[in-house]
Amino acid sequence: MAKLAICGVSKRFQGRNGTVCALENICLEVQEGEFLVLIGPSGCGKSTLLNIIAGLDPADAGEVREDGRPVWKPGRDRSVVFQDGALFPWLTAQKNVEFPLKQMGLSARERAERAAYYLHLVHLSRFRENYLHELSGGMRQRVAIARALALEPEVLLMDEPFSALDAQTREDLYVVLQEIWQRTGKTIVFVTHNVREAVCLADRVVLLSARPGRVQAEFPIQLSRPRFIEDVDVARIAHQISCALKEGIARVRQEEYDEDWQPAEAGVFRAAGGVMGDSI
Amino acid sequence: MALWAILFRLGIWDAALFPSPWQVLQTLGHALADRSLLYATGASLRRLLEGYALSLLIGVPLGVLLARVKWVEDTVGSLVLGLQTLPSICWLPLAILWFGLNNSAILFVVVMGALLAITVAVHDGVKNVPPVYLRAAQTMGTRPLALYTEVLLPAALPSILTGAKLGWSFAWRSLMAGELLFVSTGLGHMLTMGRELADMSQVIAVMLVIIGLGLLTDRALFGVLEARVRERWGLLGVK
Repeated sequence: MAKLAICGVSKRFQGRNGTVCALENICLEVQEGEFLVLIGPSGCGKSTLLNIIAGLDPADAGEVREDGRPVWKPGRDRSVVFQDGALFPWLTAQKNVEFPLKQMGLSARERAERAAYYLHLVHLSRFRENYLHELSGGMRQRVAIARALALEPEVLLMDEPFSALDAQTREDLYVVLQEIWQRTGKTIVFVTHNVREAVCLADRVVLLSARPGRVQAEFPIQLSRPRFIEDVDVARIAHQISCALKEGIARVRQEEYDEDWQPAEAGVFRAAGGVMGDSI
Repeated sequence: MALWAILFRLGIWDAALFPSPWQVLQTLGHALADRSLLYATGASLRRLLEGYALSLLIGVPLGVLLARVKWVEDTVGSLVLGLQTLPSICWLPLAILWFGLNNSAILFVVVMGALLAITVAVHDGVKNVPPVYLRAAQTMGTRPLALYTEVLLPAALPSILTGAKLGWSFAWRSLMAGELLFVSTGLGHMLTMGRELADMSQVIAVMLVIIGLGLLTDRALFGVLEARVRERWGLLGVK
C-alpha cells in the first residue's frame, strides 16, 4: 500500500473574477520512503495540494489517505516545513525545536536531548542558544527542518523551503537534506518552482499544470546520490522538464494577460536571422 | 533647577505663588518627616496597583476574545472603541452614584481608564499575529489551550507590553484626576490641600513626587521589560 494516496482531490477558490479551479481531480500515490517533488508554474495549486495533505485546508472533493486512513486535520505524523520557516521569534533555536516535543508532553530532559540531536543533524549545535534574529536565513531554515524532524513524523512536507535563500546557501541545504533523507528514510513531499532543485532532490518529479491544476507529467529521476545542482545529468533532465513546464506556462499566460500581449519569442538574445556561432 | 532659582531671584512673581527650590525641598523634607507624604504615596500607589491589576486581569482576556471570536468583535468591539474616546474621569459622577464616595468609586475610574487601552492594544496585537504561526502550531499537534498560552500570547507580547504601558499611564492619570476631585488620602488629595491652604510649595513638591514616580516606573519597570523583549525579537534599532 502506498504511504500517501491522493484520490481525486479538487479545490476551488472564489476569486474576484469568478471561480478559480486550483486543483482538479488530482490522483497521486507516494511510496514509503520516496522523495517526491511537486513542481509547476505559480498558481498551479501545488502549495494548496501540500496544505491539503497536511490537513490544514479541506479538499472540495476527493480525499488524501495516509496508510489507508483518510486525513482530515493536521497531525504529528505529517510535519510541515513552511516557506519562511514559521519559527517562533520569541524562542531560541533549541526551544523552537523543543516546541513540538513539549506539545507531545515529553519531559524537559527528553526534549533537550532530542532537540540537541536534531540540531546536530542540521549542523547547528553551536547556535542552540541563539534567538532567531541572530541566525542567517539558511540557519533558520535548518532550524525549521530540525523542528519538523524532531516530531519524528512519517511524512515530511516541505513548501518551497529554500526559495527565499541565496544560491550558495541553497546548495548547502540540498546536501544536508539529501543526507538527512538517506539517513532517516522519511517519505518527503517537496514543493518548488525551481526545476533544477526538483531534479537534484527527487526520486520522482510530478509536474502540475495550471488553471486547472492537473498532473501534467511525471518524471522518475534515477541518478545516483548525492546529487549536486551543477551535475550535467541534473541539467539535462531539468531541461526536458523545463520544456514541458513552459508549454503549460504559455497556455496560462494567454488566459491571464490581456489579449494584445504577445509572449516574447526566445529571439531576444539572438541577432535577427542569425544563428549562434555564425560569426566565428 | 538653575533656571528656576534665577527666576525666583528675579522676583517677578510673588514668593507665595512662586516658591524657591529651597522652600520646596524644605516642604518635601517636612512632609517626609511627618510621614504624610509617605502615607499619601502609599495610598495612591495601592489604589493604582489594585486598579491596574484588575485592568490587566480583565483587559488581556477581553482583548484576546475580541480578536479571536467573531461575534464578540462585532458586538463588544465597537462598544470598546466608543468608550475609549471617553476621558476616564467622566466616569466619576457615575461611579459616585453607583459606589458612593469611597475607594471603589476611584478604583472604578482607574479601571475604566486603563482597561480599554489595554484591551485595544491586546486586540490589535493578537489580530496581527501572522496566521502561519497558528498553522505551524497546528501541524505540531498543539492543543487549543496551548495555542493561546504558548503561541498567540507570546507572539503578541510586544503589543501587549505597549498596551500595558499605555494602560499604566492612563491608570495613573485617572487616579490623580479622581483624587483631585475627591477627598480622601492620596497624592491628588495633598495637591488639593495645598491649593486650599494656598501652600504653593506643597503643590509643587507633590507634583515633583508624581513626576518622579512616573519616571521611575517608566524607566525601571517598562524600560527594562521592553528592552528585554526587543532584544529577544531582534528589534533593537540601528545604532
